[in-house]
Amino acid sequence: MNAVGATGASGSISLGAVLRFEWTKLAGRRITWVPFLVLTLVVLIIVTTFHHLQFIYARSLFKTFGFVFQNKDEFVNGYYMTAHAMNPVFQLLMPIFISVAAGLMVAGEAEHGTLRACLVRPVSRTRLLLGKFVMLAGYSLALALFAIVLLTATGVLSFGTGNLYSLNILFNNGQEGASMVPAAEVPMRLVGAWLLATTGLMILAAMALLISALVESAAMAYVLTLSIYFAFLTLRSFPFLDWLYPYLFVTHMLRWQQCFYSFVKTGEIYVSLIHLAGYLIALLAAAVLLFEQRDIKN
Amino acid sequence: MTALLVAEGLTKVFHRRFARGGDLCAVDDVSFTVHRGNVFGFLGPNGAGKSTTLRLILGLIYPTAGRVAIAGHDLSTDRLRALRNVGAFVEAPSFYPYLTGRKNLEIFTGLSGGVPAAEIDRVLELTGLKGREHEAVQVYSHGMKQRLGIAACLLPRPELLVLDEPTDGLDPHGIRQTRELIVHLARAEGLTIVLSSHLLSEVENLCNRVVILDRGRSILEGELAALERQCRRLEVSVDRPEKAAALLREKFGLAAEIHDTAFQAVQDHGQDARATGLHVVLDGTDLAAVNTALVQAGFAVRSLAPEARWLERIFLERTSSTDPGVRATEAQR
Repeated sequence: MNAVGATGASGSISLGAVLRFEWTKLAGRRITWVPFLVLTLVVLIIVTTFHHLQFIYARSLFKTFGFVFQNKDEFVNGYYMTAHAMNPVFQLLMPIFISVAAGLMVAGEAEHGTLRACLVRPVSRTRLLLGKFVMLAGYSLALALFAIVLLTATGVLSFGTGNLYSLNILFNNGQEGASMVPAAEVPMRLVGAWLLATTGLMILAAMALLISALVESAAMAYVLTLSIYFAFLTLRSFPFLDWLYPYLFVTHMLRWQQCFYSFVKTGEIYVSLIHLAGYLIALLAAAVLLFEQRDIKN
Repeated sequence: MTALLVAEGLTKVFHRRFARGGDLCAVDDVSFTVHRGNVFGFLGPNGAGKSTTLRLILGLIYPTAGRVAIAGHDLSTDRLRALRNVGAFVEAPSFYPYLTGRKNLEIFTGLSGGVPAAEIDRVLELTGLKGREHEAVQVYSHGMKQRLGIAACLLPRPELLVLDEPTDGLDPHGIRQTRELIVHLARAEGLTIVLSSHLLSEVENLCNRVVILDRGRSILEGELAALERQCRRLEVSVDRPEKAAALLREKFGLAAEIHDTAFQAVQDHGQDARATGLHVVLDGTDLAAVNTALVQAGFAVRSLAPEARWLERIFLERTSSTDPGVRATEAQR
């Protein structure tokens, strides 16, 4: 018999059934696919720009750190494009996409009454929220993978491969100087950066879900989430506040940038991973507790 | 008859820290019992606390005091089991507009454990949506969304159906179809139904038990038939109303109230629009016996009819309007 859904032995609904529910909604919504389109357009613009720029200013900066290039072909390659495009994509675009998706998942559903329709069914609130988080995490992972694969593929196809030269200052590490990663190491560095960046995005996803579980409208949820994120990002841009950096969640979220230094400080990466795990557990626990106690008034 | 839904002392206070007027007590010590097989009506003006009470019995909001049990399962400690046999929508049925009607039914049903596809077909047939189930909900009319809402409530087959204003916003055809569907579900499918409405005729036609809420409080609860017996008046247009009243008091022990406004029935027949009459609460006395007694005593009985809008009268007498303009007018009276 063709049955829909699944019931556990206790009569409660399994996480699998919740995930199927969330996936059907996510996949069916047009706005889910808009970020993929936006990323494609952004990558095309970046590739076109890289073709036309002569990188005169970048060359002069590299020169001050001892890397002398006569023309852009000596350092601009697919890896260079990917590493440098990751900054705006993972610091600006991805947080926006994830905040919007999270806002729609709880506050948006509360606003439109569909959350109410879910919660009059015998499904545990905790399981529903965790299902939403797993789906959001999967969505973030897929978006991040799409971004990095598209960047690398178009970059390599357009500009070939080579050593990765980068200006440290662009990667917010608070250090001056430039780095060089040998071409053979770059693919693994990119995978590492993707994994770390995605882990960082999980924190944003959990925070967005927590805020979404607290407020009554999707717009309020993503405006609040992005405000907090950008406020912390701004704090991190003031050198005189460097004593504060280790306590800011964005510092650990952006640890992936270290993958493009000449020498990766693995100790700092482990510390950040521990911080990120702590943030994730705390934010998810708070989201579940508050969602369990929330009155669904809409 | 066994109790399916029991609400005891339900109270809900919304704490409003920054609002003028402070906390709001939306539901105040409301108790009622819905027995299996009943169609239970929630009546009340806008803002009376009907939807809040429904949210409380569905576990969407938490009571400040009181308890709810569905099929013996306490909602606060055993919510999942309590809701297992409930189909409900509150305020308005809500769906994902970009998904088809059928897909919406499938995913919502998935949250209740799932049903065979044939059961979805049966419910689509029952609600008259067969043939339109593959269209996106965003193109559905309001009536179709209401019917899809009822369809969603019926999957998987529930024991208790909770419907909040199911005919709200429907055209007369839609209202009739929805009412027929509710009657079918109650009589043919044997479902217990809790129905909230501010449409008195709807409750009168569909329900066998009602509770009237006003400003969060239950002001009347009982079997509709018993309330009708107690409250429905006989409207008698007769000459010499004082003497007729005395006769009815003496012969049947009935309290008759002289009413000096014209009856609609009298006006309709082109008779004296200022004719006086009596309002008599029959309380089980045979209407024919009253008529015979009056005629045999030589009274000219122009019309004699059970009060048409008795529930409306009770409702208006006992509840207050939430509209400040109407309240001011009532206060001036």
